[in-house]
Amino acid sequence: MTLNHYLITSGILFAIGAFGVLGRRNVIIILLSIEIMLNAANLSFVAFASHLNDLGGQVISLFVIAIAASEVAIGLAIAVILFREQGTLDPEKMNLMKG
Amino acid sequence: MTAAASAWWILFFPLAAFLLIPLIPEKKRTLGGWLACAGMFCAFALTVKIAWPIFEGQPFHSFHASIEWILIPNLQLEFGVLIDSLSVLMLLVVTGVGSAIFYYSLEYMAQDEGYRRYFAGLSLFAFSMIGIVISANLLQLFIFWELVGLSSYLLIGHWYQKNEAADAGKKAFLTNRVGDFGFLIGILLLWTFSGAEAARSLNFLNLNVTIPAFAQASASHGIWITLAMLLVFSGVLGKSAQFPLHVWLPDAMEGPTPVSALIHAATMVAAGVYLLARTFPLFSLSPAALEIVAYLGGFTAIFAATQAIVQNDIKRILAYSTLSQLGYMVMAIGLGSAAIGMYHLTTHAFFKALLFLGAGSVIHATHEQDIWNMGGLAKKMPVTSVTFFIASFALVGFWPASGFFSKDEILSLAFLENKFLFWVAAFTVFLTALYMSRLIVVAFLGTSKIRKKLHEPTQKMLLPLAALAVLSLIGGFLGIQNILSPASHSSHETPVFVVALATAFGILGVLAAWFFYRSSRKIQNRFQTAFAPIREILVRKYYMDDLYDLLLRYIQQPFAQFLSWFERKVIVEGLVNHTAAFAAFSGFCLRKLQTGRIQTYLSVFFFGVVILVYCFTIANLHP
Repeated sequence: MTLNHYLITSGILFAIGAFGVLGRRNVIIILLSIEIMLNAANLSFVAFASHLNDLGGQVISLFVIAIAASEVAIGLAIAVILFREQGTLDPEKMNLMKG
Repeated sequence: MTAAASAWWILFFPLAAFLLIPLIPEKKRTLGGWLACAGMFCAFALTVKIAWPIFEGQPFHSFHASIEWILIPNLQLEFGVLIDSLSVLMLLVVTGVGSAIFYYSLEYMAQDEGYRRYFAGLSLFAFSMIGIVISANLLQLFIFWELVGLSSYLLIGHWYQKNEAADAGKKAFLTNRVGDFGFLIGILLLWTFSGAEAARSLNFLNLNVTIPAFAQASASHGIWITLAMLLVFSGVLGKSAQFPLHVWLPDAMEGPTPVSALIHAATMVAAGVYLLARTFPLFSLSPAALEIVAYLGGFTAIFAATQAIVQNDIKRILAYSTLSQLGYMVMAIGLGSAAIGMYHLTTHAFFKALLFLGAGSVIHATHEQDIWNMGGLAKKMPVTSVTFFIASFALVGFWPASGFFSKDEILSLAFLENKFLFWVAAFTVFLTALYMSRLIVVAFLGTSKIRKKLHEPTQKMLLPLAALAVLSLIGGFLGIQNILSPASHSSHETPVFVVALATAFGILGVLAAWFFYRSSRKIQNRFQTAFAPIREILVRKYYMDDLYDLLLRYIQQPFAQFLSWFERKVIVEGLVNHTAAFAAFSGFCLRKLQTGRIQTYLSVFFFGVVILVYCFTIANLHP
């Protein structure tokens, strides 16, 4: 297991997350995809930390996990309110800001 | 208190009165009048204190004090006082005659609705006028000069409900603007001439040194000095109502009579003459400019005097007379003697203020301004009439009244310097005698055409009349001419010929008016039909108002309309509207990008990140 394996796995996870965010039609799935992207970033942080013998990367990944938790809390709350207001979770229908 | 501090206080008192009067409630309005008077009396008392050495016959030591005001590169401007014999003389005239007229106004304006507004305006005027007189530099003088224009506008339009008064105020203000525009350019020109860039200053004391140096630096500089001085003179044309900017002064008689006396006869219109005297060291560098000044002054003198003969309004006759006398002063300075011009300014302030106040008393009693509707006033208002006669005596220039001395100084100066202008001025004496005698014969003598019972005004109005009458009578013996030029008076003797000629012309004018206006109606009518064409020209004021009307209608107005069209069509529609339309159109195109879908935005965002990463990493690794 070299650093490259970790990084490639991280890259694949990030791409999966990105496609999920861009392609899915459900706000909750989009939120989950964002989680995947954040965790992909975490993975590369930890991999670099171990490779460089520097704890800084692990510390940052802890921060990211904390932020991800709060993001999910707020994101799910927004999803609930969106569903109540609009009766749907399809982001295609949320075009009030259309110019 | 030092002398400089007193000079500041002179400026301060009328200003304080102006600021305090609006705070006084309408119920206690008389307090406002007294406050204005108090401010003026204090200013007068301080002026007398400063001028005390002159009264004791000692030479006056001029002084200069200033505080720094605007300090930018190329311009060190200060706010200062310059008190020399010239400004002391002018201060005495302004505050002295001013005090008399303020006091007179207490009674004259007592019933007026705008009583406090009137006295506030009068105090503002006094403040501005004193500011002009004590100013130590040209720009400071210009600021007060404009303030004087403003207060004049306010006071001419005091009865603004009357259309004539409101129009006259506007006319005065706009005509003055024309002259002041040139004046400002003249000041800027003088500033550029005043030495090296770092040390330029508009201070009079500096200008008197730097401008002659500039003139001597090169022969070609003379034409620039002439241009600058003529531009400064254009300010004088406006303020002192000289031809061709004289048209506002007769109309300004729509204001209250004490205002006419103070502003449009004794002091404000004399500000132009004062400016000429103040900048005389600069004017004397340009003989060409002085010659133009002299000829315009002489022309105005005779030009206005002829129009005074046909006026029927008592105040308008006096207004044209003022124009004519100002012409004398300007001519005297143009002929090379600021001292003689200022001498006539002083005596003229005495007797012209007195004439206007006398006319005010008449108007106050009769509510009538047309002299043909008066008649026989001498019997009914003896005190007013006697003072009016004394003032007329001085105006025409009969011995021993004050006008005799100052006018003969001017005439003998003209006799020595320029024979043509001498004859113009001498003939104007005849015209002066003619129109003043006409006024007196028609309004004060003969049978009364007024039914109601007339009465003399109260003490408050008679006291200033008496004081000014005394000054008009003995003004020639007070040694006023020695204040400015202690030596010059003895240097040339007044030629006997000049005195005799002027007096003869004066008597001739009086006799002509006496026999003509006391003759029967038939002779008068025959005479009038014989001279109808000339009379028509005079009544129409040489068509000057019509000329201005044409100029405005066919030159200024089309030009203004073109500018208005240019502004509306080209600037607003062309530039402003099209700029807005371009913004709207680009917004219309760009808003298509705003789909409102988060996922579209995110796609663009990711795509951008990919491009950035490519640019910063891969492209750099493999150049």
